[in-house]
Amino acid sequence: MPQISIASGKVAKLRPGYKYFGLVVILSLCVLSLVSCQHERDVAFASLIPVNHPNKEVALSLLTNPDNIHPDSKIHLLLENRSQNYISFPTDFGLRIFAYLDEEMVWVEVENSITYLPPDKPSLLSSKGEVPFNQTVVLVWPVMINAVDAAYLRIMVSGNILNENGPTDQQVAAFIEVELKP
Amino acid sequence: MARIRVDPDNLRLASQQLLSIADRLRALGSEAYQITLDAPSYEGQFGPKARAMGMEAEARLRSQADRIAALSEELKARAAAFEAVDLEVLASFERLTQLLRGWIEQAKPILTPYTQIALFPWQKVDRHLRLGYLIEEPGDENGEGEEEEWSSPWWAPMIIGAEKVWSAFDASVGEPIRDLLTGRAEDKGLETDLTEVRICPLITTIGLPFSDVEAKENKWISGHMAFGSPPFSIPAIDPNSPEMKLKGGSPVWWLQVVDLANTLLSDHATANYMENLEANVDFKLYYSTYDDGMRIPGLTVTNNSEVPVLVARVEIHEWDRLSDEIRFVRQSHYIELEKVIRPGELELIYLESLEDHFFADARADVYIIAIGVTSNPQWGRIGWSIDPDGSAISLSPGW
Repeated sequence: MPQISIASGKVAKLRPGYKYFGLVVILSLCVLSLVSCQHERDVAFASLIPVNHPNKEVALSLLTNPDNIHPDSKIHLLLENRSQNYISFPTDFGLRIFAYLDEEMVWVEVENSITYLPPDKPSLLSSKGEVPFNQTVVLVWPVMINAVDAAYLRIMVSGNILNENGPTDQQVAAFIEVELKP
Repeated sequence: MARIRVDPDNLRLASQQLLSIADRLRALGSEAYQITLDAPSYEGQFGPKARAMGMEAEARLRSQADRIAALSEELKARAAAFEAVDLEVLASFERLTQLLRGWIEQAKPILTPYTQIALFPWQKVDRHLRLGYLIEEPGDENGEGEEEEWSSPWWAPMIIGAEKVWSAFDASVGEPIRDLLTGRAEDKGLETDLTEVRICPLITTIGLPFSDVEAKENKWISGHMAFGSPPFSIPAIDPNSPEMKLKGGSPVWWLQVVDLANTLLSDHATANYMENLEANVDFKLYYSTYDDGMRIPGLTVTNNSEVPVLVARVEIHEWDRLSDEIRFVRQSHYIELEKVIRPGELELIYLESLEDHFFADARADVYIIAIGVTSNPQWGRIGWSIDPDGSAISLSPGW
């Protein structure tokens, strides 16, 4: 093992770089595989749901502890308006839930077993400055009958920007990916 | 003589309901007037007539609304009067309690020995005496009849008499008197209960809000949340604002560091403050039970906090059973409320979406989701599980 003495009298050991090479390669492969899996899910989702600039005007975040989300769990999400506009959501928040099937590499839509009331009453979210009226809690409960083995869910909401005349055609959407614990 | 029972809170609730009806009437009147205002004039005939009708309708509705508002005020005044009487009664009982207590303190040296006699274990003494053959055993001379109840000794009637005297005294004045004399009151915390024991029967209700006369039982269950304005909110500096960017240089970095420190420290302090905040918003969920199920008509929220509270949603999961062991959620409802309750206010919230919904033979888990209207709001959730038999338990809060 080569050694070098320095002025203080201490001895430092020099390690050849090849010892780290294996570790670096393994780490890189792991990162690459994770990124490629994520990329595959993104590509599959984008092809299924073409949405312009999701998660920009509105955002979803998890209120339920991520470690407690199983295939039969109810999931609470925080829906937040981050825009300067008012946004109108349908009673069911325009919710769509998708489950990712690893083998087929496709997202399949699953049903939501919650009934949102009162029917036909839009839910309004104020602009971002009007905390907490720019937020609301969304409850979903996916029915995983056609995607029993799915490990990932994507929950999507969509609404319309409001102006003084009412809802416009400008649609906004947000989605969140949730990992299902076995 | 008939006993009239009044709950001032219920009167206030009714008063508030009347006020809201008055507001609705005013709004209706205004709407009627607005509608007729824009009525087209066909050859100068229809428009003016419609407007006149609109004005008349508005005037009538407004006068009705004023009358209802006046009634509401009257009801509030009555509630205050009842409360004043109640307080007076309470004060009277307080005085009576003080009087009794004083009397008991004075009589204690005399009465205590008598009480001790009353507590004297005469049966035990009697038994020991008999075991020592100091007193003859009951039954025949051959020792038969041991199973029979022993007769009391000659001195027993005196002791039993004392027992009876105290029982009668306790029944007429209140249970704690005897305990006070024997020094057990403090252990049981009865000193403060003495007034309550007497007052409680007076404070009963005419009927619960949302109550249904046809129901088997009208009940409620309560829960609490804590909301407060975080005292440590620091005005945020936005280092990315155009003005800051124009200035450029190292101050921007310093501001960013200070802002980050502020955020971290104030978040920590706020979390600590919120954890130690006492419950200050009361939720009462009302339900009516019937022979074949139950209904959940609404809830009341009393905001005793210093911040407005937004009661956003109610979440209901209705259970069903396949067998005693197998139960499943039959359906779930997620109801939008979006009611803001200001500090110090009490609000009745009708679950109109569930007005016609009957929970037949099924347990229901009900959660309320609310948030304080503050600069750093935190969402909260509390819940109960209600059985159609009328029993209810609190569910663990949180998500």
